[in-house]
Amino acid sequence: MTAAVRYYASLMTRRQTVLAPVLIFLAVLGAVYASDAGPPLAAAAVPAATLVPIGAWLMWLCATSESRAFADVTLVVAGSSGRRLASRLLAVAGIGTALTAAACGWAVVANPHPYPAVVVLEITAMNLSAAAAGIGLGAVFAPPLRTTAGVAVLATTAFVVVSLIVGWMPPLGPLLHAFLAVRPPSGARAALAVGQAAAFGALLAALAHVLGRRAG
Amino acid sequence: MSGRPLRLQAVSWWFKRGRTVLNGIDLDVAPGECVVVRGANGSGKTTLARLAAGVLIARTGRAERARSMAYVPQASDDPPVRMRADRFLDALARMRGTRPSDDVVDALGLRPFVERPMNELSTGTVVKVLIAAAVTGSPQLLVCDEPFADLDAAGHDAVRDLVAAVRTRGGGVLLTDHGETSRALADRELVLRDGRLDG
Repeated sequence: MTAAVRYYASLMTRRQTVLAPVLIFLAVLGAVYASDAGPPLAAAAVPAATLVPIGAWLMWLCATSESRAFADVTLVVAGSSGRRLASRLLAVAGIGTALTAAACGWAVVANPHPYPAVVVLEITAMNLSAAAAGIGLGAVFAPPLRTTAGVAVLATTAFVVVSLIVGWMPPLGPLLHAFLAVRPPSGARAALAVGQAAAFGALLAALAHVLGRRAG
Repeated sequence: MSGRPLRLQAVSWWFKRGRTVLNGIDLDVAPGECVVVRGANGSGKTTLARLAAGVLIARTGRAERARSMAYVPQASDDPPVRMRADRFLDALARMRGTRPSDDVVDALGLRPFVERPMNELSTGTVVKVLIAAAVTGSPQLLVCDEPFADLDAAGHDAVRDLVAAVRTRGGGVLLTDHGETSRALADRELVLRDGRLDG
């Protein structure tokens, strides 16, 4: 499956439209850390929340990086729709990881607050799990499912907003509550929230797989 | 697994809005056999080809196919992928754990085009690239959806050679077609009409 992941990563890097979500994320980082952004975890919450729609957007771009006919050929060569989806997810996860690294690095360099290793680890976990949730969310709206771009944008935006407002709704509600509302964050609670967000992404990806098989 | 490259049993497919495209299709492709399916526009040939290739999952019925398979989809004007043809062939070969064949690239007359992005190639040239990708896999089942529609003489020869190579290896071939070109290749011709296959 490594070859298929590399193939999709290669397609992504050849799409100029991928620059749009990446630049928006970097702009968010720039805005958050333009001056003293405050305590590290509170400052990191905004980029982490942004990674949900950014991850969904990147997943959409990955799934639309080949025409339907070519996507069919990739499916046949990869062996199954599940393998093709997993390859796409992993390719986008690579970009999500790079954006997480950028978020951590930017925070450490630009924010005049101490960043002990445990805090960097917490920020990394928060960003990675948000990215995973976003990528899973994107998979539900991306081809082979027949969702229009407009519906996907509206649904993703609505989902992120509701998840921010409703404290118990994954991925963002529990994640932000665990890291921000409880000071200092409880390790067990934070780990649970991170696991919850990542599991949420995996669940959505599995849903996308089931629906995609039926849709063709 | 039946040992046949392809076996479809009572396979049906319908769109969500209710139009039934395939209705209880039974189709066996024996080792070394080439089956050609004809039909009017909109009769369901592409749906049948996608089902045979495993891209679609039958709504009802059962489909068994060889593990080693190649699929050449119908030509389309959609921009395929933003990647050079040689890199695309290389990527697909790596997914299969093989290497692309330079001989096939030359036989198809693709050499002048392989360093160009696929989205800048003509529809027929893109189909040739897909044929070159199919050859790389040494498939036991080959499914081609109207492969002759946009091809020149070299492309026709390449499809014939590909079909012959698969049959020689004991594999099976399912072709869909409108015209007469595939007639010489067919061991059996079927007509898809009203969702059913007639012999």
